[in-house]
This record gives sequence, structure tokens and C-alpha cells, in this order.
Amino acid sequence: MPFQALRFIHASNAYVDHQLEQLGALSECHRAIVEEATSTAFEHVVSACIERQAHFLLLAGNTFDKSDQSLRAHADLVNGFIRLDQHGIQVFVVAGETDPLTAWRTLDDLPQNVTLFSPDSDEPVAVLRDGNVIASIAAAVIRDEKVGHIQSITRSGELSRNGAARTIPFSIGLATIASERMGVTVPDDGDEHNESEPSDPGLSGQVRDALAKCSVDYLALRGPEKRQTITLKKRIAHNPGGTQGQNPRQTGPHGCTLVEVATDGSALCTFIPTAPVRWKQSAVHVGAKMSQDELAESMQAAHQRCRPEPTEQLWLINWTIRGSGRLFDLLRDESVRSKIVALYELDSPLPPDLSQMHHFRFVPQVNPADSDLEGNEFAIQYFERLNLAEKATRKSLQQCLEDAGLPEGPWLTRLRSLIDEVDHEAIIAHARQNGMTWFTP
Amino acid sequence: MKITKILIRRFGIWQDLHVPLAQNGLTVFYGPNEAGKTTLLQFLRAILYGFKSHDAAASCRFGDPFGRRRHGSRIDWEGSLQFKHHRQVYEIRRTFHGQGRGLLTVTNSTGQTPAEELVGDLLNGTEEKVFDNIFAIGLHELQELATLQNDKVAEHIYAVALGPDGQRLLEVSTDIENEGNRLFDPRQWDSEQQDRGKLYKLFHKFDQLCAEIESVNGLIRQHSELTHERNHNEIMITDLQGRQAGIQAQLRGHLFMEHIWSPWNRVRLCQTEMDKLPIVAEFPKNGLARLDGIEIELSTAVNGRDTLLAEASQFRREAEQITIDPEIQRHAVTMRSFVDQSHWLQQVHERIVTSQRETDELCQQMDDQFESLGPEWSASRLQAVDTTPAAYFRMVSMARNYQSVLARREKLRRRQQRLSRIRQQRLAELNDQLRQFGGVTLDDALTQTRQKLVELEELGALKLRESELEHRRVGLLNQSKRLQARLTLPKWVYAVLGIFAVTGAVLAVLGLVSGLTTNGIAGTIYSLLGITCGGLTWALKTHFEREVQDSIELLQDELRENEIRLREIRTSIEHVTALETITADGSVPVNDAFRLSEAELIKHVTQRLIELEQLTQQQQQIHNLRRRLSNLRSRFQSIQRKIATTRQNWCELLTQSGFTETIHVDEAFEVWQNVVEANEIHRLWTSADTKLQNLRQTYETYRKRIEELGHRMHRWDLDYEHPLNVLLAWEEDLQQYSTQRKDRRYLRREQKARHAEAEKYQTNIDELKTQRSALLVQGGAASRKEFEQRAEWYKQRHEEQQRLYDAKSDLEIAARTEPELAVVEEDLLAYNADSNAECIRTLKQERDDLKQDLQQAFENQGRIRQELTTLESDRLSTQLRFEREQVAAQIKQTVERWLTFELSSRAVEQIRADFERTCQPKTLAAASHYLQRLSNQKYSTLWTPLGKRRLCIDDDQSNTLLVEHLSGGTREQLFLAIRLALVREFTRRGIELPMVLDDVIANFDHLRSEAAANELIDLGEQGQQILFFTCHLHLAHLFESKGFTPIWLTEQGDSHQERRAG
Repeated sequence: MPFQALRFIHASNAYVDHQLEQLGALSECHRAIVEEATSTAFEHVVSACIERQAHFLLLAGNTFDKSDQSLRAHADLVNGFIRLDQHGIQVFVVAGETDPLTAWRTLDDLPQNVTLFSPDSDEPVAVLRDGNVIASIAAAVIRDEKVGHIQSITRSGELSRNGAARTIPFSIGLATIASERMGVTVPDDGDEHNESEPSDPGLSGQVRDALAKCSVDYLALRGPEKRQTITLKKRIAHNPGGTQGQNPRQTGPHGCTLVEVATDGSALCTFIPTAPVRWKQSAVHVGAKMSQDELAESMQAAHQRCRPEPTEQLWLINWTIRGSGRLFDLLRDESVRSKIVALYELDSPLPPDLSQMHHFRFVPQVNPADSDLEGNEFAIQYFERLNLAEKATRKSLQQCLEDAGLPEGPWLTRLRSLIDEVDHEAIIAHARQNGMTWFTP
Repeated sequence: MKITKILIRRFGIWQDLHVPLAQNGLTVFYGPNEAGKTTLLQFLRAILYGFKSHDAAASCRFGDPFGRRRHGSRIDWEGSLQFKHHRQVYEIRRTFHGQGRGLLTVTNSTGQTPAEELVGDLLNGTEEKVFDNIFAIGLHELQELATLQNDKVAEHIYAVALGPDGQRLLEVSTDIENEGNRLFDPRQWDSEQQDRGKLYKLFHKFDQLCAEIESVNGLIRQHSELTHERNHNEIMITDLQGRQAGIQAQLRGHLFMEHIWSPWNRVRLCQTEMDKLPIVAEFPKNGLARLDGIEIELSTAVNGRDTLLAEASQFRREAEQITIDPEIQRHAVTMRSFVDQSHWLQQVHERIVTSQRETDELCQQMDDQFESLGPEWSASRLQAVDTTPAAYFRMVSMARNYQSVLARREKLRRRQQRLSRIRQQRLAELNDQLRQFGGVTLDDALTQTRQKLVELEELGALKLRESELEHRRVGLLNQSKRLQARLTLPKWVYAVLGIFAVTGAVLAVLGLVSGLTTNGIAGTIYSLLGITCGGLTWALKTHFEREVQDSIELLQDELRENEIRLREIRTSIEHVTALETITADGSVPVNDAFRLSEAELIKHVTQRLIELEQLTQQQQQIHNLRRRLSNLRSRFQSIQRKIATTRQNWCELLTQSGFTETIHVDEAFEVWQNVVEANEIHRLWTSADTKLQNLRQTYETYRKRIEELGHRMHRWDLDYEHPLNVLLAWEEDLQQYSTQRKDRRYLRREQKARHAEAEKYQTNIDELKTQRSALLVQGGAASRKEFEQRAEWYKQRHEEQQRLYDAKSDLEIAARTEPELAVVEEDLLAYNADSNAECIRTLKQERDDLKQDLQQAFENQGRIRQELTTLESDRLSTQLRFEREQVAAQIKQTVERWLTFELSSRAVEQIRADFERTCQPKTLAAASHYLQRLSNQKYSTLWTPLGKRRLCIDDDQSNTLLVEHLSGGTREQLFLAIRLALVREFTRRGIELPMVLDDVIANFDHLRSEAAANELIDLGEQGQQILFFTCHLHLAHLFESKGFTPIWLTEQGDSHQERRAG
């Protein structure tokens, strides 16, 4: 039987009905968009499957968050699967950290087209079309971080060699652990959609080994980071990223991947946007003599080349304002910020129907070296101590917390957990600014 | 002041006590309990500062308080202290009579200064409370921390003035503490004030939201229960539907029997009837009716044929009577063609009239247009102008370009004017403000103000120094005056010296006389005695006065040096003050400057400095505006050049297009419009004229042709100049001709038609006869009667067959309704309608019941689905989680803020700790030294937190301890160390008072007792007089072993007997 072309959609980290994190103040209409963001993104995934006539959908983990105990997530998933079932599209699900298999099994009204993969089972599942096997999917590809355990799925067969017509079905491996645990990391290269192979071969070493040893044609990864494709000969390991950015660190467009496999077995990955909300991180430097117009122009320049995806309704833009001077101080005033945002939006290259919310993070750039501190012993000592603290900010902050004399309890535990999340740079910068206020004339 | 002797006339248990003391160093008193040591301490306090009622009360057991002699007479406390002060010997005596503080007398007083004032000078202003808490202390005072908290004492210990650095550190620390509390003080979390305990509020809210989410998550269980209920309901519905299907099947069977039995019975009856009728195999369809019809048609056809033949004869006769004009008949076609075109000709005539009118109007309009364009415009020039759309587009483009450039220039001009106005306004404001500086530039004013601020700070320091020097000068003057008073020796001294001098002179004279007169040796002896007396007198006087003179000279030197320094300071102050008067802004007049404090002046100058910096910013803004204006001017000039180019292009375009040059775009377009309109009118006039000529030519041609035809028809009576009238006459003729022809044709046509119809009737009659014969043969009859009999039989059989057919059709239809059911004939034969109806009724009842149950189950299912939908669409959980995330974000932000302050706080606290340990008050530094020695190096540093009256001690492990944390003995060592340091500090300030210590080291261990003894001995060797009382023999021996023999106070043998000691 000749090899048949096929088309499927690969999505991960959908987190249906999970709330986006670290949001600032939002208006009512924006709040509605944000509240529905993950559910809307999943709907877009389902619609994409139907519109693109995908043969099946791969959900590579973290489809929902068990700790949310969300009925809406349950309903959205079941309704989406039913829609897919009505169009004859199968769904293959592998559990992730937040949606363990036990959680999936509590969803007792899943339609027949849904197949749950257990990490304990190595048995591949055949995907049929007109009675013919067009692909085989196995979940227990990687039991743990050890590459040596990947060999269990080498039964899928080899790719065609010497141009001979391929007869073995396309084989897909669903990774049961997140890509970052396999050593796959993506360097932070801006927030725009960027799908490329990591430049550092060491970063994806385990994945490469997995690809080399397990002989799957397509290794479906998941990870909260940006989408990523690693190719080895004709084999592909792909992480589509999340369907919706969950927090300000997950910037840029998010969506799923349409994988189109040609008759020669070669696969083409195409990004399909699904996220209604996009996070953006932009930095602007405010000079001592910068005017408001110039600041607005700088902000526009920062987004000059950004283009919204069709599914996007809202951009949550987090501005990091670094600098000093009068304008920097004025920016603490809400009305001044509103005025600058109005100037920015007046000539913004973005379409007017795309809502934008701006949040500002201020990092005062105080350079004690610029000030005449000679003879000012307090200031010199203060900045020396801050410089020492900056070298080990986390440790210093942890020490601050422990020395604060707070009673043991859940709040203190939470505060400890926040040490890694807080903005170390801004804390040091504000402390420096305090020093300039206190100890310099 | 050094006490040399204690003299107690009577005080407490002591009476007539005389105790000589060493002038320097340590004096140890040993005595057991109730030996009178504390009484001695009280006596010393009382002599220096006066008796108190409780001094007497304390000693009341030895006599009546305020009292009474034991023998009924009143007793008084009385005693004195002898002491040396600046090499002078004094005796202070105080007598107490039960009221007041006792009568004070000072021996060796010059009498010029009252005794109280003299004692005050001796004590150098040391208050009684300070003396009681520092110099003369017992174990009780030593142990009490409160004795060190007295304002005067604390001032020395804690050094109230922190200095600017300490003050700043304290303020920063306070700010940080307040800010930290504001964010994270659990005691303030319920405060109404914004940000009070904000983090606690947020954490509380977070917990509340978590609890709410947890409660909402209970809906999962409800959802699961509903899902199970829905599944159960679905099973029940399936079961009911199965039962319903069974009953429905039974009901169908019975209903089928009911439906099928009736047609089956009809078929059976029809079949029986048909068997009874004779068989007529064939019979024409509708035979009788057809036979009747043929016979009726035959009769009607014969009558019609005869009537038609009569009418044809009548029409032929009428046609032969009509006559027609031959000329009209010949030219009728030509005439008709002309008449047919009469309407067109009429239109041509009307168009000629209309065209003539239009041509005239256009001619008039063209004249008007030329008149409006001007005399220089003619038809030829009009033709030469290019009015094509391309030309218009070029012109519009050029005009737009020109106007756009003009608009940009106008916009630039407005912007330039606005900026210029703003700049001038700001410049005027700045100049107004700069005018206050009297021509000094802003930078100079800024520099001067900064310089002024520095000078003001310097002025403050100088004034403080001046105050100190002034105080010192006054002290030196007082001391000098007292020494001057001491320079004058008592009169008896002068008297003795005088006697010696006189005696010496007398003896010298006597010796001289005796030597010359009687005996040389005796004379020599007398002379030597006289010289000796004189020399002795001189030596005594010189001896007494030289010491005082030396002291006075030393004081004078110090005073002069002090005055020189004071003068320098005042010169500096005057210099600084003088600078104030010549400052540029002149905002603070000299007099005001003197009236205002330095702090207010500094505040004022700082304010001024801020204003000047704001002015500098304004100046920078004006500079920016000037730069922008300059840019605008450049752009304006560029635009001007562009306008010239564009205007030239515009004019060239107008010339090329045939228009007159103008820079007014509207005017040019108005001329363009007029030219286009004139061109259009000219074109219309030419066209209308051509059209008129054509119409006239057509009309004339046609008239000639009509005239020619009239002549050919020999009709000379008509007016051919008006062809329309001729055509009207011809139309009437043609109408008459046509009517005649039509009538004749009609009559002939009618005649032929009657003949043709008569022939048709005849043919029909023959056919009808043939048909009647054929019909009878077909019915198998020879006559009409026989035909009718056979027709009746055939009809009956046909009806029976039809009924049978209908019954079979009904049967088939009924059978088709239930194709799955089969019925045997025996069942039909055995069918009973009543019992079948009863079964149907029963089954229907069951079916209805099941339907109702099913309906209820469906309703239940719908309700469950609705509830499931409601649960699934519930947004509360989503909203709560959203709010929780919002709160979490706020917590993060607040924690960042809190950590910023904590980090800053740590740095500041470290600075502060260094500052507190390294920049501690002098007293505490000295006390640290003493404590280190008293504690045998156990405790190293004594310090006090900034802004707090609290003592902290660092031990050898660098642990910081509070006073409260120390043991009793260590605390006593600490307080003794502080007092020793204070005494040294007082000594440094010129206050030299003896220390009286009453068993203060009684609680020290052996090592520390020895250390304390050594420290007291060292202090004594440094010149400090110390009276040490103890009731512990080992301490007495300790001091004795170190060479200080105690004064042994005897134990009171009889408590009521007065004692003498010493």
C-alpha cells in the first residue's frame, strides 16, 4: 500500500479556562476577553481542525489545569471534541503535568473520537482512513529524561531510503515530559513569532538523541516556551508552544501547528494563530532631555514591525521604562502616562480594532558615578552595599525576608515563593533611587 | 575641689566627728552595718546642697526628727567640710534648725561674695540631682537605671544632639520603618488609612478568594451527580421507548385488522354479484349517448345547408351595385405614401420652427458670453484655447500644488507666530524674574546662591563656636575675678608683716646705733635681726602673692588667647554676614538675616536655589523654542522658494493653455469655466444652424413631389404651396376610396363563404349516416331497441367491476400501510370487530401511559441538561480565579516595593550600626573603656541607638545585649563605668567634685571587685578624689593590700549613744 499524505494539528499547553497570570488593571470589556482567552484559543484550535480538514488532532499535554477544577473547561473540551467527532476528526491526548491521566478519566462523557494515551503503555495507535493505516501514534516515547529509554518505540520503522517509495505509515511520538526537561530551551530573541532551530546544538541534545534513536517521523513536544522545531534528516521534533500566552513572559503570538505530510513522508509545519490575547514586552529608554512626543515615537518604533494575528483581540503591552530625568519622574503620574499612550495610539501602526492595554514598569537608572559623592560617606557606603547585594540579589532578598521577623505560616511561604518571581532589577534600581534621594543633596 | 576634712558637729548618729582626708586619690572607709557610712554620704550631700527633711528622718532613730534634744531641748544638725580649691582652703559649714536647707557659712570667704554664690561657683553649676546621681551614689542609685535617665544626666550619656549625619540617618531609618510598617504591619492591616498593612490586606483577600474558589469547586460534585442522573434517565428513556415500541407493534396489528377487514369483505361481496350477470364481452363506450348525438347532428346539418345557400345569392346582388373613381384607384398607392408621411412632414415643419428659435437664442447667448469674456476674446481665440480634460487636469494639479504650497506656508507662518508668541511670553516672564537679580546672570545667581548656602552652613558652625568661646571667656573672667579677690591678703597678715617690717627697721637702726655707740657685735646682731625681719616680711608677701599672680597670669593668657580666637570667629561671622548683604538677589535683608535662624535662612536659600534651577529649566526651554523657531524660519524660506517656482509654473501653464496670466487660482478657473461655456455655446449654435438648413431642404423637396403628383392626377384646384392641406384633402379621398373597396370585397367574400359552408354541411351529413350504421354493428344490434337492451347489461357489469376494483384498491392501500404485517384469511373470517376495538382501546391506553412517562422522562432529561448547561456556563469560578490572579499581581508588586525598602533598610541599618558604634558620644566611649576593664574584657563596646535613650552592649562574641539582658552585677559594673566616664567628662569641663561611693562594688565577684578597685585607684591617681565606703571586710582588706589603709568606723555599740569616730 503506498504511503498516504496526511494532515494533522498539533497543540499543547491549552490550559482551557485557566486564568492568565500577572495581569494589571483591566477594563470590563478587556476583562471579558482575558477571562475567555484560553477557552477561545481552544475553540480556534477546533475550528482550525475543521477548516483545514485535519485528519486528527494531537493534544500534547497541559490541555487543562486540574487544580482549577473548572466545569467550563470540562464543557469546552467535551463540546470541542463533539464538534470534531461530527466532522470525523480523531483526537489523541497525552497527559501533562497539570492534566494527569486521572483527571482525564474523570471526564466520563468524552466522545468516542478521543483516545487517551497512558505513559505506561507502549502500544501504538493506528490512525485509519478508508480502512487504511495512515499513521501510528505512540505516547510512551520518553519515560523520563533518560534518552536510553526512548528506544522502546523504534518499532515504527525507518524512513524511505534511496528514494524508494515509502510504504510504512507516518509515525508520531507524543513526548510525555515537557521539552524544557529534555534540555530544550529557547533563547529570548524578542516577542515576535520566531520558529527556528536553536543555534546551540547542545541545547537540544536530548531531543536530537531521541530523534536519532526512536526513529519516529514526528516527535510531538510540549513546553511553555515559544514554538520550536528541531529537524534531523527528515525527522522533526516540534513544540508548538501554548495556544495562548499565560503570563507576561510568554510573549508574542501563540497558536497551534498544522503538520502536512506529503506522499514522500516529508512534513511541513505551519503556524496557525489561536490566541485572542497577546503579551508584549517592550523596553524604552527615557533620556534626561526626552520629550513626551519623542517617547511616544520611541514606543511606536518599538512596535513598528509588529503585525497582529487575525485571532487577536487584545494586546497586553508591558513597557519597561528605563532611564532618569524629569520625564521619567513625570511618568509616575497616571495622567501623563495616559497622554503618552494617547499620542502613541494616535499614530500607532496597529489596526484600530485591536484593543491595547499598557502597563508600565519603571527601572530608574541611577548611576552613583554620575553624582559627586566625594566626602558623602553614607552615600558611598550605601551604594557599596547595594552593589554587593546586586551580585547576589536573590540571596539578599531571601535574607531580607528571613530577617523581617514574619511569623511562619502560609503567607511567609508564599512570600518565599515570590522571591524568584519579583523583579530583581527593578528592586535594585528603586533601592538605588532611594539612596540618591536620601543621601545626596 | 578636694575635701581635706570632714567635721560633724552633729548629724544623725555622728557627733563631733573629725575625719581628715587625703587631698588626692582614694580614701576607703570601712564600717559594719549601721556604722554610719550612709549617714556620712548624706552629710556630704547635705553640706554641699543643704539638708533635707528625709536626712533628718533617716537619722531619727538617733534622736527626734527635726528635733528635740533628748532632754527636752531642741537639737540642730551641724557640720562642715574643709577643702582645698585652687590652692585655697575653704570650710563650708551648714547649720540646720529644722526648716529650710540649713544656714550656710563659708570660712575664708572674702566676704564680697555671698556664701551661697561662692558654693555655687565651687560646684561650678553642678545641680544637686546630678551630684546625687553621679558623684555621691549608693548601691541603690547605682542599680537604678532611672537615675541615668534624668535629663541633665542623659544629656551627657546619650548626647542629645546627633549632628547632621546622625539626624539624617535617623530620619532615613524612621522613613524606612514607617514605609515598611505601612506595607507590612499586621497591627495596621485593618486600618482605614490607605496602604496601611497593605500586604496583609492583600494576603487576606487572596485567602478569601481561595476559600470562595474552593466553595465554588463544590459544583464539580453537583455536575457529576447530574451527569449520572442524566445517564440513568437516558437508560430509563431507552427502556420506555422499547416498551412503547412493543405496544405500538401490537396496536398496529389490531388497527391493521380493523382497517383491512372492511375492504376485504367488500371484494368478497362484489365477486358474488358479478357471477350473477350475463357476459357482454364488447360494447361501444357510451353507445346510447353516441347514437343519440349522431341522430341530432344529422338533423341540424340538413337545416344549415339550406339556409347558407339562400344567403349567398343575396350577397352577390349587393356587390354588383358599388362604383369607384379610376384616377384615385390608379395613384392610390402613391397618394397613400404621401399621406402616410404627412405626420412626419408636420414634424419637419415644427422642427424647422423650433430650430430657428434655438439658433436665435444660441446666437444671443454667444454674444453675451463674448461680452462677459471681454473684447480681447473672439471666436477664433476661443477655438484656439485647449479645454480638453487633460489640460484641465494639468491645470487642477498645478493649482492644487500651488495652493498646497501656499497652505503649508500659511501653516508654517501661524506655527512660527504661535511659537514666537510663546517664546516672547516666556522670555518676558524669565526676564521679569531675572530682573530681581539686578543684572546678574542666572548662572551667576545660581552660583552665588549655592555659595550662600555653603556660607550659611559655615555661619551656623561659626556661631556655635562663638557661643562656646563666649561661655569659656565668661568662665575665665569669673575665675580671674575670684583669683583677684584672693590676691588681697588678710589684714592680720599685713599687720604681722608690718610689725615684722617695723621691728626689722627698728632693730636695724638700733643695731646701727648700738654698733656705732656701744657694741659692734650687738649692733651687727640687731642689724641682722632687722634685715631678717624685713626679708621675712618681703619673702612672706612675695610667697603668698606669686602663686596667685601666676594663676592670674595663666588665666589672663588663656583669656587673651580665647579673646583672639573669639575675635577671629566674630570677624569670620561678620565676613559671612557681610557677604549676605551683598548677595545678588538681595532677598534677605541683613536685619532680617540676623533675626532669622540659620535653619530658616538655609531653608530660604534652598527654596531660592530650587526657584533658580526652575528658572534655568525655563531658560533651556526658551532656548529650545528659539532653536525650533530657527528651524521653522529655514523651512519657511524653503517654502517661499517653492512658492515662487510653483507660481511660475502656474503662469506658464496658463499662457500655454491660451489664458491670460494670473496668480489668482479662483479667477483663472472662473475664466476657464466661462471659456468652456462659450465654446460649448458656439458648438451648439453651429450644430443648430446646420440642422435648420437640412430641415428646410427636406421640406421643400417633399412639397415639389406632392405638386407633381397632383398635376398628374389633374387636380388643379389644390394649393400646393401648403402641402399639408393638399395631403389632408388626399387623405379624405383615399378614405372614401378605401371604404368603397372594403364594402365590395366584404360582400364577395361573404358570398364565397356561404357556398363553402354549405358544401361542408353536405359532407358532414354523409359522414353521420355512416357512423350510425357502424355504431349499431359494433353494439351487436340491428335496431335501436336491441342496442338499448345490451347497453343496460353492459353498464351493470361495469359498475360491479368498478366496485370490485375499488374494494381491491382499498385492500391494497390498507395492506401497504403495514407492509411488515401478514394476515391469513382464517383470521379475517374469524374477525370480531367489537373484541378488536376493545383490544385497540386497551393498547392505546397503555401507549398513552407510556407516552406520558416518556414525556416526563424527557422533561426530566431536559431539566438535567439545562442544569448541566447552567453549571457549565457558570462564570463565577472563572471570575474568582481572575480576581485571585489580580490580587496575586498586586501582592507581587507590593512585595517588590516592600523588598525594595527592606533592601534599602538593610543597607541603611548596616550604615547606622557602624555609625552607632564608631560615632558614639564621648561619654559612652569612655564608659566602654571603663566597662571593658571592669568586666575583664568581657564587654567591649557600649553604645546607644540613634535617637533612643537606650543602652546596648556588645560582648566579646559581638553579640549585642540590652541593659535588661545583663545580670545584676554586670549591670552595676555598667552603671559604675558610665558614672566614672561622666565624672571624667565633668572634670574635663572644669567641674572637680569628689566622688562618694557607698558600697557600690558589693555585688561584684572577686575578679571584678579587684578590677573595680584597680580602676578606682587609677582614677584617684589621676587626681580624682574618691571616698569609698564599704561594709565588707574583704573589700577593706583588698584596698589595704593595695596600699590604701581604710578608715575604720567602729560599730555602733549602743544605738542610742552618740559616737565619735575617726
